[in-house]
Amino acid sequence: MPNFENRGSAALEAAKWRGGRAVRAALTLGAALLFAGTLSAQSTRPDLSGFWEPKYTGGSGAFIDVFGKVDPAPVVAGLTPMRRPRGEHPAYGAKDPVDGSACRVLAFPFFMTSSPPFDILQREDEILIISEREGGSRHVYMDGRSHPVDVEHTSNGHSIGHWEGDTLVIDTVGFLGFAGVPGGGRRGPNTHLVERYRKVDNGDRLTVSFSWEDPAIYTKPHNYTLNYYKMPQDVYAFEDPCDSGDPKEYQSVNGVSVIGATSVYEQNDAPAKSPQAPAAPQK
Amino acid sequence: MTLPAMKPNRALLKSAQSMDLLAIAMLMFASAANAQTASPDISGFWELRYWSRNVPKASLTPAAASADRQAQAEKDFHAIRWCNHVGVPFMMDDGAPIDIRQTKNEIAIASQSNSPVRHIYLDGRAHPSADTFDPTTLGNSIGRWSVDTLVVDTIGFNDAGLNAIPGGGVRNENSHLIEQYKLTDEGRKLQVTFTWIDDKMFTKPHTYAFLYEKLPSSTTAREWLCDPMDGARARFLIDPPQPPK
Repeated sequence: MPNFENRGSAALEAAKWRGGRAVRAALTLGAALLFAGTLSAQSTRPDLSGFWEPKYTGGSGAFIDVFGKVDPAPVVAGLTPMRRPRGEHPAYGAKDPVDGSACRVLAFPFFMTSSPPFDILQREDEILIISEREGGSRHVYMDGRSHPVDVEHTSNGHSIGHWEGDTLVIDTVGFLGFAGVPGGGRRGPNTHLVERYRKVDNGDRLTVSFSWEDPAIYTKPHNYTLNYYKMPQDVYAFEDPCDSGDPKEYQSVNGVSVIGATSVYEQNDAPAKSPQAPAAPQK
Repeated sequence: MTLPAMKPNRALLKSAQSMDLLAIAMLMFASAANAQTASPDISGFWELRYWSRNVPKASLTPAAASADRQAQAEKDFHAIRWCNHVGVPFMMDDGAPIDIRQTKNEIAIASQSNSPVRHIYLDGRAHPSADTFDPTTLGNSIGRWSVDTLVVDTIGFNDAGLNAIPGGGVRNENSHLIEQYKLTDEGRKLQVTFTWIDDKMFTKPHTYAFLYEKLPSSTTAREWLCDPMDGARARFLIDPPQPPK
């Protein structure tokens, strides 16, 4: 064993220098490896960014094609598959504020089952899944946060995500009201959704498996998988305008005039003394 | 016993030098990889404060200055009452934070109000032909980096939604918008300079600026659900407020 205490000062300094340099080099190399490794991990992760569209063999472009191909949802007794809840639902006693009628927000999961493509912007801290329909975009937080304890219910819910190998796993809670789910299911305020996104076919196809859980709606998890296909790089987003105040387009919803009227659901559940309906602005 | 003074261990020194060189090479490689995303990253949640707007009065053409303000007010009311898409520029200043997410090929700007998300394409494409592009409330936006400034060029607007331009004038099919996004205050602020060009609306380009403040990364997007069938909201908007009796 070398006795450094008995060495000359020059030798001691040389040894320290050599050791220091070696340690420094090792640390620098380690940092470089770590940095490069982090970059490598980021760069080797599949990039889901881009426009994705469903394709329907039926050619109608309607979401009903998707609904028809998904196995019937295992809904609890009292819920009729393929039927949107009207008015109060016995499980929640809540009205449905999320509905496509008269330009009401369609949101999720509808926008991922209708014909317009959606755009994914993938970052390390957040992934945006952008709809052309009403409802804007889904914010999928990738920064390790949890769902808020007092989550604010929204039409897209609160989503957090993480990677499991080449698969993006998204966990969503906090949905607002009810909305249809393929297979005749629906989602409610207490519904929990887990999605798994994975690119296949050399990145040309995106498979997304959905697993819906809600004891008030399903007797067991409602699982299905949908496919989306990559669109050309130069595609651009359309805008889906919707003006429920335009009498030429939206004079009625399900036979009920909506111009100046209160909500269809409010009408269905109208109290004995209904408030006076507001008048439609003159066009 | 005294040990002889140690000579520098050339093998160790060479090894250390090699490790240094290797580390430097790897850092250079990593830096080169990172350089692909070396443009400033303007991603994050941004909000305006009450001091955040520098909006001069627009110099309107005589035709624009004499436009029917009552008709415009009724149009605005219709857009609010029926939850029409608000569009640009309103969605950039709707009272809530905007969420900007930047990738190599695209930047998205999401607002909480009833507006689709803005797509700003950074992949070098040109605007689509006016013959095929249907005008929208957001228009078609393409962007490029000019050193540390993102320059966004937007055409293809319509006049739907809330189309008032801060300082005067309205967005319409003749509008051309150029925006410049630049981080300031060590990334804590984002200055966006808007310049509207429209020879039928303005006698000269109309320029104003907003200074956004960055919110914590833990910020969560909210949703301002606008329901046209919300009777209480409709009654509030339509019934004139009453003074105390």
